[in-house]
Amino acid sequence: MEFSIKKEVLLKGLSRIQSIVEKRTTIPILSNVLIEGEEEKIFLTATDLEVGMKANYPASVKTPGKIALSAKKLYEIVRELPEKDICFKVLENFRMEIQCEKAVFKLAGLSPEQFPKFPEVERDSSFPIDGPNLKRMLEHTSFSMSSDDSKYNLNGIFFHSLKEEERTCLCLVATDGHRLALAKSLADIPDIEQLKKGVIFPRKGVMELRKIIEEAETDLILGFSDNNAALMANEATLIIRLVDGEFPEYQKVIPAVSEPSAIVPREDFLRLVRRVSTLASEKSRGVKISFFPGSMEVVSSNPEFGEARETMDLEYEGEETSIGFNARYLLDILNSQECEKIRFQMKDNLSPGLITPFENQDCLAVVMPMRL
Amino acid sequence: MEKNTPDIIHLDLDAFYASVEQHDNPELRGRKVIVGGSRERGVVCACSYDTRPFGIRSGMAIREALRFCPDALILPVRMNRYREVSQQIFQIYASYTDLVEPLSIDEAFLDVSGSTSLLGDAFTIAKKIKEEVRGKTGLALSVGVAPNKMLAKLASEQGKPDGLYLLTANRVDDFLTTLPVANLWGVGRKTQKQLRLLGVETVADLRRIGFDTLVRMYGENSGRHLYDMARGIDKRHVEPPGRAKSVGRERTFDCDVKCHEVLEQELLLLSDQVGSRLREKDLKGRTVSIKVKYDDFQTLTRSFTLPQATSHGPDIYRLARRLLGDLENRKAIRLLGVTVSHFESEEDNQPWLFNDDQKGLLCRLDEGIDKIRGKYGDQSIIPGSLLPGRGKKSNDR
Repeated sequence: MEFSIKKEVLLKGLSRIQSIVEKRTTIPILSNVLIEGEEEKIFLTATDLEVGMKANYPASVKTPGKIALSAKKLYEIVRELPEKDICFKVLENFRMEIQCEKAVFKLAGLSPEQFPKFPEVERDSSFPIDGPNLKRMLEHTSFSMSSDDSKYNLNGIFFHSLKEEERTCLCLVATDGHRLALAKSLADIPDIEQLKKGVIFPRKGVMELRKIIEEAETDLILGFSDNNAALMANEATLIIRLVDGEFPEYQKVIPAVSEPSAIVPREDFLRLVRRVSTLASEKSRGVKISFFPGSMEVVSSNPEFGEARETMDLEYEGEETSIGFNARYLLDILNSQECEKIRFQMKDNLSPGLITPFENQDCLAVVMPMRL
Repeated sequence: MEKNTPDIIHLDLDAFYASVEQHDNPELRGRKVIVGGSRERGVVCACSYDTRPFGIRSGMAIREALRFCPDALILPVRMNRYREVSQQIFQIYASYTDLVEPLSIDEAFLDVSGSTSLLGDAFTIAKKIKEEVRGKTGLALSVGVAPNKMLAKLASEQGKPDGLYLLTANRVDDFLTTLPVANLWGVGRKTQKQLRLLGVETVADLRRIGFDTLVRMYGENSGRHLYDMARGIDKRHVEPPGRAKSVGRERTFDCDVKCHEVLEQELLLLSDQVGSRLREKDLKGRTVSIKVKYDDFQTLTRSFTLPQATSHGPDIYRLARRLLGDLENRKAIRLLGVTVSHFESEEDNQPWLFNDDQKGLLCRLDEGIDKIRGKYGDQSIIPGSLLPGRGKKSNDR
């Protein structure tokens, strides 16, 4: 194989896969990138067997072929080269000669045959999806994913399709067991078994999904095959192995909209909680929120440093009530939403609170109070 | 000895349950009182001092006790009331020093070294506490004042009942050497028997046994402990509760045990007690450890850390049993212990959205058990396999 490629194009391609390549792997081939040259493009493929990506970039290919090279070393080399065309030529014993102006590198590689096969996705179990909308839904939910590795079924986002009044919605849910976030939106989804039952995208896959959506300029295709999901853009395909686990029955813990709720200006509330929580206990981050007719008071205290207290006016007509919350959870929710006003619905110290945008319930967050 | 001022006070309420009953009901005063369960099947939990000449002791079957002392009055256990009185008394202790270490519902150590400049020397403080407790609750205390915990406890035993005994550093030797070794902390029947073979009956005899011999016989820790105790040395501090980093229970067997079933039964009992103590302190721990001391005094500990904290006895037992099973050594075991550490009390403040139904059920079961124990005492409800006559008998070694 022999090809030449613009430095900036290759650098972009290589930097894109750095987060996928396994850093400390026991399988050496997985720290490599597979380079395949054909016609006027090269394909770069990387995988850690959970998340894989294959993307193509324009290049002038003299002789087609393929090789596996250390993703990290190649990236480090390319990064330091001048902004010119780089020439690649495969030598014997899976060695690659890299030349740019007067610099020449000979990099040892591995047989491309060792590289895991990239799964194919069938067209009939895939459908077009609105990228920016999916990104928004990911942002509304991803902060609630668990980071506790032992709770693998909560270590990601649950995707499923559901029928609401004859229309199909795509619904995303994430929870770490203490709080939960849900986002849904109308989508034209064909009958896909996996989605009807629901699938869990792992945390790393969620992160890569966000990146590929940000970079994609055209519409995206989301597809499923066996236990993999794929997101296809024009130049790149992302393959994600779905989590093999049961997602909890989340509908049970979402309170019905009925209890008295407060209508709160989101930005003001966000800044208030940020200020008051500076003095919350480092470990629990607890703040106490008291609702009074027409106002709210947020208090934090810390035996080491002192206490903070702030009140704000809002729309609330229920009974006086005080509930403790983890300030970090509240900030995550308030940060993830974009609306002007939110609806904050709570019952008592033992029942989950519900936060939704004032106008709709397309994204909602449920958070368990804490004992203070 | 580390320090010579007698600043440590040991306080022990005399015949606590029985005295509370006599105080609450004046008609019972001057009568022989036994607190326990039913006449047929109950066990003596406490008895007034005047029943003791008849040979009545805690733990004895009530039926047997009545044979020795037929005119004794049998009263039901009113645990809640005893706890209430105990709290009142501990509040009195706390007003004299913040270094109060409760040993049980009716027993405590106080370190008053920080209070002497304000309240007078330890003996004066002890006298004041005694008077205040009698004034406010009508109960009698046996009090020992000494330079360390071990001596203070021995001193309070000297004055029983209703005594106040001051042991100053210069009198420690005279006091200690005449005592039988059995009075020393941690000298049980088995150690006593072994020491008797060496001709050791009193502490003075024990002092003649060299340090090396004791370490050879009992291992580094226990050997040193015996050596120190014989000389009145005890470096442990009075430790108020709440700073605990672990909760554990251990037991030295009367005879070394090899039988796996007996060991598992003991693990079950210890695990159950540790769970109960954790819940009492509102703690949950993630790490379960076992401690095993073999007959040759080799001591091992093994531990396992769970993803989620627990205070549920059967959870602790399951791990403890696995840890014990993993030990390949087939030597006879002298001591067995179970400890839970790595507490996660913060997590309790943040409840879970999803209630694990099974877990909720177990939690309610534990609450129920704790309530029954709170009302009728720790022995009132125990795992069925630990009931006498069930499973392997404990003397079936």
